Amino acid sequence: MTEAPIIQIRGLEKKFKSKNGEFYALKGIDLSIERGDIFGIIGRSGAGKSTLVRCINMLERPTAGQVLFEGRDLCSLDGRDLRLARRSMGMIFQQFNLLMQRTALANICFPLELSGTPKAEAKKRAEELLDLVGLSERAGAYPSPLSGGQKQRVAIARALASRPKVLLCDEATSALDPETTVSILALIRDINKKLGITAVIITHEMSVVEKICNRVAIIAGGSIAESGLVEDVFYHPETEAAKSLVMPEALRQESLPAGRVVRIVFAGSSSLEPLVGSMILDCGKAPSILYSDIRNMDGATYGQMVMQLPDDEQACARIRAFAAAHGLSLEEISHV
Amino acid sequence: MFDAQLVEMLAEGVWDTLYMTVVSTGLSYLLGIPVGVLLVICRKGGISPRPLLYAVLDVVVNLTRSFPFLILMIAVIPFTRFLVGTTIGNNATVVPLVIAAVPFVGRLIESSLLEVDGGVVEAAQSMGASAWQIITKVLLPEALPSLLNGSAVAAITILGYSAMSGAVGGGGLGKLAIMYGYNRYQTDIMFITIILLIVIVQLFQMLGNWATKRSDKRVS
Repeated sequence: MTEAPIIQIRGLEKKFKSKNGEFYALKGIDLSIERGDIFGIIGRSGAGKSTLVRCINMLERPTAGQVLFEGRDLCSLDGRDLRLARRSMGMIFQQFNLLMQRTALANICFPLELSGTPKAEAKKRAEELLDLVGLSERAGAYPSPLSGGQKQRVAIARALASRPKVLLCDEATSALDPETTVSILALIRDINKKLGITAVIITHEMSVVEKICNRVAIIAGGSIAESGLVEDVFYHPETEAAKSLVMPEALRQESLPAGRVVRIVFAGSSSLEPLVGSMILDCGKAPSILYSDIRNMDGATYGQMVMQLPDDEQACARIRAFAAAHGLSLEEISHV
Repeated sequence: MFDAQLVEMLAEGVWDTLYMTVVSTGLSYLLGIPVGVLLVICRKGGISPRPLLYAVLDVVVNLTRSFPFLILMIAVIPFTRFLVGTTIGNNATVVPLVIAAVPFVGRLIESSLLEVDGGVVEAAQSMGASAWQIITKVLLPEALPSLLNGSAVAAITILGYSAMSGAVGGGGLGKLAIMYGYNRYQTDIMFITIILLIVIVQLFQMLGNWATKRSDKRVS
């Protein structure tokens, strides 16, 4: 990347004071978000991910560090300057946070009213946005009777009204059913592609990151455990925090069966099934498959399979050799 | 018993009561809205925290609210005379009514505004709304149904106070009830005034309910 990152977070810290002393919600956060990224920030509840996204637009004031937006440190801004800067960052929320006493159209006009856009122009822009999110026919509806997905569409249109460069999504799909989640994520991806808006996606769901993000940061205990390209972090997690998020529940150490368990990851063009088939033929003994999943990310196939190896050193060695010969990464995750 | 004189007297009582109530409620809201808004935005965690101002306002509101109305009315007589030039009649009664009602209305408004979802305020902040814009475009409009509901409560409370003022120089139905029912043992006239008061209270409440329902866009 030759261009400077649109958002650069340096040494960010957020400390809360409570009766029992100080508590670090965030500590030593460094992140670079490039223009055009769909950047996922994933973590368990309480990891600090919501605080982190709120620090990006100063809804929470960091206690130390910098948040550079297009090279300007937002922490140094106040009052009017900060309000103006916030208009270049749209935000959507888990609970949508629509104005319940305004129609869908009037909700989208709201940020334009704030910036003093003439009424007629605001209305025209709001109508375009409603069309973009596919809700033109509900312009006059109040939020209350709308479905969750429709509310989030209105919220997205509202967040886009001021023509922001960044869209911050705080658990934007967590209150939605799986189908609606898919359609909202598709909409966010569309917006990213069509309008070139950088998206920051806060979530606790792996599937959200897999579906649309190109980069991901894993946050645990208020710090970034790992960050990078989604396929790297997902299939070759290096830290415990990352592993525990990436690996399905059934594969945690404590729930693994006795014996030698390995995780095989394949990426790109190779297709898993014939490979596993020939591997079994090759080693002569069948491993038992504990878990397997195959995903399509940005057009390429990625998959992982966890299997318990046969209790036979020779067969194990063959499997290893086979994996190495076919460019599969094989990692032993337990051999109790 | 229902001679023209009595009817005229009752009609005048109704008018006086309505006049005092409506004018006092209006003025109380004029002064009470800023009080309620300040109580909400200045509190810890509000959109513009000012702990000292909040603490002072909070104490003043509580102090004023703990005065029994009748005593407050007598206590502010000099102030009433200064403002209106007299201490009897409708306009003179409006002064203590407003003084008693402002803190009450302030609390009502405070509790209505606190019902507004913090997430919506946060969303407005994320869009670059100023404190003033949040008050005028988010807090007050979003709380409108609750505010209207509260205004019926306020008007009815003020109506009750105005009736009490009949004991010390105020006019209206309260005065009639005290004058005829208490001083002259004409319980029938007192009874009629009570019926009239009940009807007025009912009307205020119905109007409040209707306006609340009409303004609430959360139910389809």
